[in-house]
Parts: sequence; C-alpha cells; structure tokens
Amino acid sequence: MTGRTRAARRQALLLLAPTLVALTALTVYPGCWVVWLSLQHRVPIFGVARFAGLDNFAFLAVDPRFWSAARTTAAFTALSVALELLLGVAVALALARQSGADGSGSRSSSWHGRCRRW
Amino acid sequence: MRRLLLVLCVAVLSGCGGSALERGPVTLVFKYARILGPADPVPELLREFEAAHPNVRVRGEALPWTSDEQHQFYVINLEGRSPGFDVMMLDVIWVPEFARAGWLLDLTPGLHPGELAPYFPSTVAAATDHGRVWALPWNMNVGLLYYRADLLGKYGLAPPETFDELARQVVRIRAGERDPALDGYLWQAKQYEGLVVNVLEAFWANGTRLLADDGTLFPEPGRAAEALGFLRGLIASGVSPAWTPAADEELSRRAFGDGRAVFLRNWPYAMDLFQARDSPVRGRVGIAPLPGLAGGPRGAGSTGGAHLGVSRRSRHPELAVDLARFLTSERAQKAIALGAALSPTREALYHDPGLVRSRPELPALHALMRAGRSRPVTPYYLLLSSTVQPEFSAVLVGLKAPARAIGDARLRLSHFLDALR
Repeated sequence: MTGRTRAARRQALLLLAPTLVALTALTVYPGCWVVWLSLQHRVPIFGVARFAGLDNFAFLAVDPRFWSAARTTAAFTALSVALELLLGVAVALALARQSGADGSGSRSSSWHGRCRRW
Repeated sequence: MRRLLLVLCVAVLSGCGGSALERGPVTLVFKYARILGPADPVPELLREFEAAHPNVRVRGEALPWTSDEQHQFYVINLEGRSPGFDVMMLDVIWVPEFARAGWLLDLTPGLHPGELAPYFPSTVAAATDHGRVWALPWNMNVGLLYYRADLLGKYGLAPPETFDELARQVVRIRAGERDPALDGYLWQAKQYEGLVVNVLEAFWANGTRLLADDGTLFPEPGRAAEALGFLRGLIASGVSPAWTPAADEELSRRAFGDGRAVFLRNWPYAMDLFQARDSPVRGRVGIAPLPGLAGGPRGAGSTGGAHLGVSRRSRHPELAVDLARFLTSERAQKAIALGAALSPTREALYHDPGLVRSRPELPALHALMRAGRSRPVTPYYLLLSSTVQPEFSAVLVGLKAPARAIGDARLRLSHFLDALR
C-alpha cells in the first residue's frame, strides 16, 4: 500500500517535471532578471550598467504617464475579468441545463454532479 | 573517437585558414536605402568602382523601408557583431550614437588635409564626435516652404516671411477661390521623427531650443510651450487641416501635389515630383525659407540627410573607406543628383552648370541648406526624440496644455539622461 503510494507520487513528480522546468526557464528566471534590471540604469549599446537602487521606482511614482497607464490597465483588467466571469458562468449554466434536459445517460449526470460540487 | 575529434579539429582549422588566406576576389557589401526616382544611380556607380578595382566585387543590399526599421536592423546586426556589411548608409542623427557604441571605424587618421572643406560645415559637424570624424556626408536635406506660385501671383502676394502673413494669405486665397477642398498650410505632425523636426523648427522660430550647448533641457520652457501652442493654433484655427496630426512627409506631399493646398513644409525631394510630367502642379510651385514668428529670428529649416560610415567589423577596412570616399566624391554625388531627387553635400555642385540645367532649384536650395540648423547632435538623440514625441503629439491633437507637455517631457528626459551623464 505505502509502496504503491510512493510509486504514484514519484510518477506524478516525473510527469510534472517538464512543466516545472519550462515554467522556471520561461517565467521564474526572466521574472528575477526583470527585477534585477529594474534596479539599474542600463544602455546596453554604450556598455552602461549602473546600480540605481530604487531610483527608477521613485521616478515612476511621480510620472503621470505611468499612472495613467496603470489606471487604464487596472480598469481594463477589472472589467475584462468581471465580464469573462459573468459570461463564462452563464454559458456554463446554460450548458449544464441543456445536457440535463436531454437526459442522456451517465455522462450528463456526472456533469451535473461536478457542477453541483463546485 | 580520438581520431574522429582530431579529424574534426583539422577540418575546423583548415576551414578558418582557408577564409583567411582567400585569394579570390574580395566582396564588399554596401547597405543603403533604395533611391526613389527615375533610376537608382547607385548600381552603376558600384560597377564603376569595381572597374577601377579589378579584384573587388561590391554588392549593394537594400535596407528596410522606414528609418525606424533601418535603425533596428543596424542595432541588431552591429550589437550582434555581424560582419555582414562594410559600408553603411546612416541617417545623420545616428552617427554620434553609432560612434559611441563603437560600431564605426574612425576615419580621422586616413583623411587628407582639407578633404572635408568642400562639404557643408554643418554636415561635417554632424559626422564629428569628440573631435573624430566617423562618417562622410553623402546627401543633404533641409526643411523648406513650398508655395503655389500661381495662386500667390493671382492675388498679388509674395511668399510669406512670417506665419502671421502666411495665415492671412491662406484666408485671403481660400476666400477668393471658394474651394472647400483647398487646404492652407500642410506640415507633419504624425507621432514620429518628422513631428520632432517640425516642432524644433517652431522652437527655433521662437528663439529657443530643445537642448542647450551645456546640456540643459528646454532652456526656456516658456518659449517652447509658446511655440507648441502656436502649432496647435494652426490646426485649431483651420490654417492647417484637421488631419495634420496624421500627416507624414508623403501624405502631405501628395495632397499638395494634387493641388489641394496653398503651402507645404517638406524636404527638397518633393520638388522633383511636383515637376514631373503628369503632376497637376507642374510649373506652379515655388520654394522659400520657412516663415518665422513675428518679432523672432528668420525661420530656419532643420537639416537632415545621410552619411556613409564604415563598419568597425569590416574585413577590408581600407577598401571600404575607398568605396565610401568614391560614393561621396563630386563625380558620384553629381550622378546621384542627376538620377535621383537627392541633394549633394558638396557646396560646389549647387552651382555646377550641368546640374543646375536639369535641377534649376539648386542655387536657391544652396542658400536654404546653408541657413539650415541641425537637430541636437548627441549619442542619445533617439532617446530624446522618442521621449518628446508623445508629449508634442498630445498637444497637437488638443489633449494636453503646451506648458504641461513641456514640463512632463522635461521630467522624463532628465530622469533618463541625468542617470547616464
């Protein structure tokens, strides 16, 4: 029993590994690099790379264009997420009702079950 | 296994040796933007250079179409250390940047005394950074005023010396013509380099600048804001059409060329097209200096143009310098001025009888080129330009007050530039 659990866990890890590696390479590493870049003044073609501390952030705090962009992004995100959520739930409910109405066997009931559990 | 490695090593080594000891003909690559006009005169000049250098082949390769894409092409290839080309055409505003980045061969040691004397001094200044010469001036541009000589003549008007005069003439001519499709003054205010050029010309007309000699940004912010407000006023009052904030050189050139405007600010290339056989305005267009603002200095056009630089990665630097020298020679520049709508960087050609016969506007152009002013000569020009563009544009479409736009532009620029000094 325990042996089988351990084997299953190892298999799960193995299956997850490629995703974890890809995520690290494509998201975590560039993310850290961007944070490091944000603390510098850099002009690559002139070989300028100077540690700037929080200077860039201090500039953004008083930059009207940054705040205007931030406001637009925030409004867009809130609106689009809300709309997607509302429409998505509405479509899901409609689908659920439809598959319930035609009453076709075990598959539809399992759909229902899942919806109810959520 | 070891034997296989050895074989590979030998193969690699002999491969390298082979290219170093190459005895076949040398190939030079010349990167340039294809030249518009009846015929591109460059290929023939390249054949001529080959004829004079029997062991050399020259391949002309086209750059992308727009200036921004050309710049991007160079940055990617030069930063990537590609030795893919030897001689390159450079927009005059890039020379200090490329020199500072270490991409250009320093031409100073090979120059003969007095070799640069025949060129416009402003073109030589634009090719110089830290007292070294990095490129040879190839062709030149200056902002100027095109006017409809037939319309001005009909109402007994002379080309305007100030913008007030220009505005009055527009009102008078449009009232007389009763043609709702006839626009007044066309210029370029789309958000791109051309917008910066137009705004700089307004700054100069109002006695101020974007960057002072000591590096101060907007040394007189009040005057700069006044100039921006004046440009916005041209659009708001209808002297310039409502589509001006979308206009680039070609859009405004075509509208004027179709006979749909009285005045146009543009570069000298447009004259050839206005004088083309099927042009509706053929023989009806005059050129004049850009107007000034009342009580200010006389208007001056911004200079522009292309230089030829040699890549520091060129495998044949001496031949490459020879090619750049040949293409900027009086002979070659004359051929280019005859075959295309480009203007020379050598002053003598503006009074060359053979050339003036086919391009009669050249002597007048000479005075305008001499009076022209250059955009700030700095390795950070592109940063400067791309930072101020959205601010200027916001004013011209009526979204921002001029003084605020100048203040915001100054804030952003000083953050970028102060950190780099």
